[in-house]
Amino acid sequence: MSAVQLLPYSPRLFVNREQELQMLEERVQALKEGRDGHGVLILSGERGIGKTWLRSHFEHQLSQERIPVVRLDLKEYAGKDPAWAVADILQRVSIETGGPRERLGADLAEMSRTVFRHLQKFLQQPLVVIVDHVYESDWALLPLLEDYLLGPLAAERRVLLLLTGRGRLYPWKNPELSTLAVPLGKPELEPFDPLFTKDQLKRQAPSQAHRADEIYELTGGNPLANYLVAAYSLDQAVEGLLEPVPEERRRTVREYLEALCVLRAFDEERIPDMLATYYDNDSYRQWTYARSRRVREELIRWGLARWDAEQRGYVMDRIVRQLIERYLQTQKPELWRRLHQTAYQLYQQWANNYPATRERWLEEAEYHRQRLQEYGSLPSRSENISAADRRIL
Amino acid sequence: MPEWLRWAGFRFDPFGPLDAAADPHLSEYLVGHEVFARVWGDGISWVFAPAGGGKTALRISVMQTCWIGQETNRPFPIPYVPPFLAWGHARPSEEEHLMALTRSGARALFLAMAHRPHWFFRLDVSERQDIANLFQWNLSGPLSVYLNLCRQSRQISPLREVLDPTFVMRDPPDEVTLQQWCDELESALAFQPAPPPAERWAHLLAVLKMLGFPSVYILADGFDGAPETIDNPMMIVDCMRPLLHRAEKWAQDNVFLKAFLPTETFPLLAEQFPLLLSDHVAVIHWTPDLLAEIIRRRVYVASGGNFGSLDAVASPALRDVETVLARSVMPLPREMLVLTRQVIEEHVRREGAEGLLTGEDVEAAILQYTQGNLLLTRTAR
Repeated sequence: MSAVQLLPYSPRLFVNREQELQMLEERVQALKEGRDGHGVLILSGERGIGKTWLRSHFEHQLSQERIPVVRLDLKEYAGKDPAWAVADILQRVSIETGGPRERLGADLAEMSRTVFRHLQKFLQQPLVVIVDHVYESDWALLPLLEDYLLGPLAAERRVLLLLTGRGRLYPWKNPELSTLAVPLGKPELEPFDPLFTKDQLKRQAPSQAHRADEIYELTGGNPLANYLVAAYSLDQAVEGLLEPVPEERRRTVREYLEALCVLRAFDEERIPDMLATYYDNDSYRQWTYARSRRVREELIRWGLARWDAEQRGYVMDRIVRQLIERYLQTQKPELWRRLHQTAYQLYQQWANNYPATRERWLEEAEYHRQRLQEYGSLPSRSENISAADRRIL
Repeated sequence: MPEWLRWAGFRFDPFGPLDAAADPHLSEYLVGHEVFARVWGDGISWVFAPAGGGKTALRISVMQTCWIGQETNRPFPIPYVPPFLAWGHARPSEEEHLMALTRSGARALFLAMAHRPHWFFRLDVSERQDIANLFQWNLSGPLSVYLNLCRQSRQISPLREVLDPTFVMRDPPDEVTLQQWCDELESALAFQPAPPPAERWAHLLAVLKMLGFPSVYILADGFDGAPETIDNPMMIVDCMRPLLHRAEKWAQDNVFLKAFLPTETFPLLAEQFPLLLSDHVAVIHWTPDLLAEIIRRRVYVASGGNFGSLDAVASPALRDVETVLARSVMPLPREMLVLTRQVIEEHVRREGAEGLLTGEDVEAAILQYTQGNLLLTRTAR
């Protein structure tokens, strides 16, 4: 299998996002004129939704207007000591805003003071600060970053702060970064509609543009998925979506995702049964809670799953789940059927064992029964939901 | 219980400190809250809540938010709890209010400056003298007493204990810098006689402006703390009246009154001061949904954003744990925290420091809570 190459940003390949760009333009205008109303913007959304491209396009526009931009990618600091990381970030901000290039202070507080003292001179002009991969970052890093850089920056009238990322929203102490920050999107960046999907494919994969409707039906308009499905096989497209996962973990993570993708929500209680079926190995059913939790934590760490308040469980990233399940359904249909069957049986068992939550588990069982029925793989008669339970549903 | 919390994936105990002032994560729980959004910002604002309904927690959270960062580019908070004991009555004059406000402001500035001596070091001689005089005139004791306390202990915490135990600010200076600040502040003192209260208040505002604070927030709380006001909303309104008459004028000078009051005062104030209460009013009614959300928010923060409900650490036999609990408690946040702790304690007592929460844990906790409700409530307070 050849390696998947993600398409690098290019202004001529960029489509859509008029509303978001207009909002950015209004904020920049306010910033240039020294008016209130620029503040903090948040750019978030599922994997492949186009955050990086929109950010790049915004940077491209700012460079044309000659507005200084400081861009910090927190991904570069993954696994690093948080205090060291923030010191390095402060040093970079200092250099890029004309402050001292060398020792800023003995500790983070002093470094922060030095940076902001010099920044006051630089802020005779507007400044845009972009921080990438914020929500994927370690929660040990973010409080320090908030205290010594982002909090004070958010209070500066000549700074527009753009935070990008996906996954767990961080509970900032600073209202400018949380309650008063404005999302670019509704509240997240949304997938393309069929027309923009076609427009995108015409520019990025012209030979596949005639497949736009079919691709849209599979991807729901996720721009990265649109491109990957057009340019590669479904198997490779999934690999492309998993690009943020380090290569040495990618195969295992993909297996976990394949095992769990049929579920609408999962948790540590459901992981062992699904892995046992996926690997066809009953020993997984003996997994401890702690061992299952490592799986769940890894999926969250790479932004591939998150807690969902409505589902009251962990849900996989929408596009990742959709493509992986379609991959299983078309390439490994027997495995796909067995996974649904396992889920169906598990929920039936829970419905029988736990009267207080019976209705909820019956609903899940019914979902899997319907999925199997849609594809002509009904559970065996003995596993069907009873007439009494159907009445509950 | 700490072991179970660790096993379940919590970074710290989010149900622990029942005293808001002692909770280092308070701002993380509260900032996303819609009531906080109404309170924050340059404008007069009002929070009405029942006794024990989170007013002080909100007030402290606003104060902590003002202290983020190293500079003076955020609002300066004056925590204002009326000194009924010192007054000996609950009908203060405007002058008494101004005096008490100035003292609170001076106390807050003194503690803040002890944490940020660089605000002082960059001032010229006359500006330093203004600051030293402000402290000399308005702290409860002579400035030298506090500076000696600081010098002897070589740290700020004894000052905090004496002046305001709820004061929280990151990054205190090292010993040498603290010593230098004490010395330079003392040497700036000119020993001039104290002016009358109204002038001292104006002096405080001028000093804050000179330091660069863009606005001042008066965080008024504890007006129901006197025997005369505790069950008498009309008396609270009377006590506040001199401040209310000043509020609009203050707002024009970027000094904003933010009041945290008992719910019963809302109709009286709305009737007597309709213009003041036309905007930025938050009335907290603790519904089961809102109480459940308190626990979910704390779970989210303490689990590092990994999960946002106790459902994540509950058996499949138990769902929507927070709502089940919220429907069983008196509608106050503290009661909700007490019951949630009880669930975990029941679990640990029955099954040890591991394992998912079960329906039995919840039932046992509710039974305990219901039977010992008064005791729990009294203990918690």
